[in-house]
Amino acid sequence: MSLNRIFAAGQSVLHSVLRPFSGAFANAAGYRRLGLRYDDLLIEETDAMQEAIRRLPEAEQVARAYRFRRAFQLSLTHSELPKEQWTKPNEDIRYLTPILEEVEREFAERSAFEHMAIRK
Amino acid sequence: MLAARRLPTAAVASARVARTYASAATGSASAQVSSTKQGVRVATYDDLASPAAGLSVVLNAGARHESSESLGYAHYLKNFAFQASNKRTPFRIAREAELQGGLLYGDLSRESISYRARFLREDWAYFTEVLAEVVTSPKFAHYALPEVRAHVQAESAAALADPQVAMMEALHRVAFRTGLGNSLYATATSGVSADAIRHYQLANLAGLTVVGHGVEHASLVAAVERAFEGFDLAPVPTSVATKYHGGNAHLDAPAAVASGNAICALAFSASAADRPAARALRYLLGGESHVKWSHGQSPLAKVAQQHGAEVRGLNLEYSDASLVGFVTHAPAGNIRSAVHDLSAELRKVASGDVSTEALQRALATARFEAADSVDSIDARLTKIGEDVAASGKSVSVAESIAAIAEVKSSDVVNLAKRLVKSRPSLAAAGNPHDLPYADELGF
Repeated sequence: MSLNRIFAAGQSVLHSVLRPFSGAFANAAGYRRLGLRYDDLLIEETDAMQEAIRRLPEAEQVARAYRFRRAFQLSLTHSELPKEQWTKPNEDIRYLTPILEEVEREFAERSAFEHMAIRK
Repeated sequence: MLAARRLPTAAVASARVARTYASAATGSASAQVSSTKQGVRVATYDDLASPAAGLSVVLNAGARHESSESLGYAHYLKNFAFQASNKRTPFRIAREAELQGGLLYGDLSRESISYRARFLREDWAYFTEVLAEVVTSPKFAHYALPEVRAHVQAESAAALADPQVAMMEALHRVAFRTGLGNSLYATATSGVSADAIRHYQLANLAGLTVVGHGVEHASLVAAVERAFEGFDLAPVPTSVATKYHGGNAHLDAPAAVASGNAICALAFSASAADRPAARALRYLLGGESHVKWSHGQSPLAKVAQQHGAEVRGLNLEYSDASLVGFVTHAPAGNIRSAVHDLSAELRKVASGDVSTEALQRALATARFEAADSVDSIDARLTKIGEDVAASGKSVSVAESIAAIAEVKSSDVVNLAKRLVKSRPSLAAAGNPHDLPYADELGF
């Protein structure tokens, strides 16, 4: 078994073990009580992230900015949203991660081309 | 590499010398045309002596195919060329082409959009794959639109700032109104979005043509068949037949007014059947000089000289229409009399006043131009693409030359007679007080 496959198998075991607790963890993390989504917590101050945010459809960008403002306000006043307005698990979608991964692949591709050696 | 690249002068000269024998042998050949099982027409021109080769994928998606809802989309589609496909990023496309020393570019005409590549022949398989990918799986990402829009707007602004370009657009507008009258340059567009451009592309994908220059026919057909697996691209007659209208269009081009000059184009409609006679008539009227420091001996040139004007004959050929006439620019004060006297030369031809020497000169020039105008890979790709997209077959240079050689004095006179009786299209740019109108010219 190659190292990759052992790693992949390990991941799937880890996934199946941790999966049942993930919902509880996300709830405990508290961001859902501020109306945020998991992808809102990703560190924004990187080139890849800036590009990923630029690629969001405009409506998504506006919704993201709104969630931030609401969360900042709640944080400022040391309060939470009423429970019915908490982010529901089915709303907590990864709207940014696939785009971010694509951008990171493109950055890696650019880097690979920039550093390649041409053999003729 | 995506931008146009120019060879140093020495390289051009030596390339020309080196190619003489090959061209002499292949100049009369017409392109070989066949159809793949998806209905894609593949045409190749065999110039296997030269190491340089070219490919062109021609979509029937030029400006004439725009409707009132999709005005300007052709220009956007052209500029979406070589943006991301579902397999490659634009960065990868550019770098891979650069590594192989190839050149990728898009070209927009009133009839079609073509995606082209020029490269060394051994790399043909890669470039076939990339061009096919650009057509079959473009991403049309919404986030690429601002960049594409910026290019489109810059191109439109740069082109239309030239009064000559703006005037030719206006000439087509009055001549054909819609269809061929649609502008090549997107200015007013309704609801343009990446998805709208995707739909425009899909709606105009049928009847696709692939043209190869210096690429082996059977291999290209096989490669195209693989690349377009699962597509049904059989040609469908969707294009609305062109109707000629005619009229006047005057532009208050600030650049032309400020310079104190004016430009004017006067054109008449000729049918596809008139084509050889129209080519002869265009060079019979002439205009441009073929000898340095002289104004030339053609009737139009002589008249233009008296008015301090410059003139050239005009023969714009489209698949189902053409415009024949002339374009002139002159000091604004002279433009009206210049156009009047120049159109009198056309009437003179219509009255049968054509000398044998003048006709011989015109036919010789027309034949030379027919051969010379397609003497590059890019020009041949354009010509073969246009021919095959229009009629399904390619017309060789030898055939066009033979058709012109058969033109008789009476053909030219009869064509001119019909033209002067028909309704002209006149487009002019300059000070509106000085510009001529078609009715003042007696048409």
